[in-house]
Amino acid sequence: MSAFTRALFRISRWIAGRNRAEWLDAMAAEAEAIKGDSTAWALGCLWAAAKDRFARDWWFGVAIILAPPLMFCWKGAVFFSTNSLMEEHRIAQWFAVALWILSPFPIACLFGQIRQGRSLYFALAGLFILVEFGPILLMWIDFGLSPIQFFSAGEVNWYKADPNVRIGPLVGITLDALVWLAGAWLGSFTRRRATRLSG
Amino acid sequence: MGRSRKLSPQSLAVLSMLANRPSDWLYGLELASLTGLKSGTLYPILIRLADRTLLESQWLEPREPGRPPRHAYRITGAGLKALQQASSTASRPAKEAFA
Repeated sequence: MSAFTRALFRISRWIAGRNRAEWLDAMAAEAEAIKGDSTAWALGCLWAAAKDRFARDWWFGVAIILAPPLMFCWKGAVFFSTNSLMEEHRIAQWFAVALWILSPFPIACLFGQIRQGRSLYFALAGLFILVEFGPILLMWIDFGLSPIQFFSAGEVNWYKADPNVRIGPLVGITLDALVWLAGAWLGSFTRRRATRLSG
Repeated sequence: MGRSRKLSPQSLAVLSMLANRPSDWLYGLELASLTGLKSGTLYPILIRLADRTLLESQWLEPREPGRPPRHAYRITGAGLKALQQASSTASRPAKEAFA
């Protein structure tokens, strides 16, 4: 089995969940038995894992499909509403930027409430990559803006704020990641606490 | 509730292949080549059939050394009954039409 096929089985295992671990072992064992390339078999197993999981946990599918647009809409709503307030000088720039940085917190917290353990952080990492780098990819496709320019040494405007608030891409991504992690941890913690209290 | 659900043509194809060799344990790859189903279609069917106890599964030691054990499947009595019921239901409208 190639490294790519192994990676496909790791993703399938995560999607299928613990209840179906034996079935994923069964699929992987068959892939080992294939003499030639087993990528097509592994891709089918990925599809099988997703189909089975969505059939068992409808909310899992809904969460995966709805989470990215929900996060984009929420971040957009916070950005545009505070941006107009900032331009009217009704709120300070640093306050608006702080709100943009903190905006994913409630959604990450919600994620922490509905998912636990390693699968929560896997899902969150996927969503983070999509939300953080998706717009850059879209700007590249739609307007031909090279992604490299967002990561150049002189770039100090990660949040697209007035240059008075100087935050570069590395600091911006780190701050965003910390907010996402803190939100997920809090959501997970409050859920565990509530379960312990009710139990 | 799930037990009364009608079996799909693909599920019936898998059950038929298993019913052709009721005492043999068949591997996923063998079933895929016998039925022409891809792994993405075959495994959700196998999972459903196993959940409904229409087939049983077990891990078999490999024939070649150094290979991992493989999961194999065999039809159960309930599976044979479900297959018979499905084929009699399918042939009933045709018989009624010719009656």
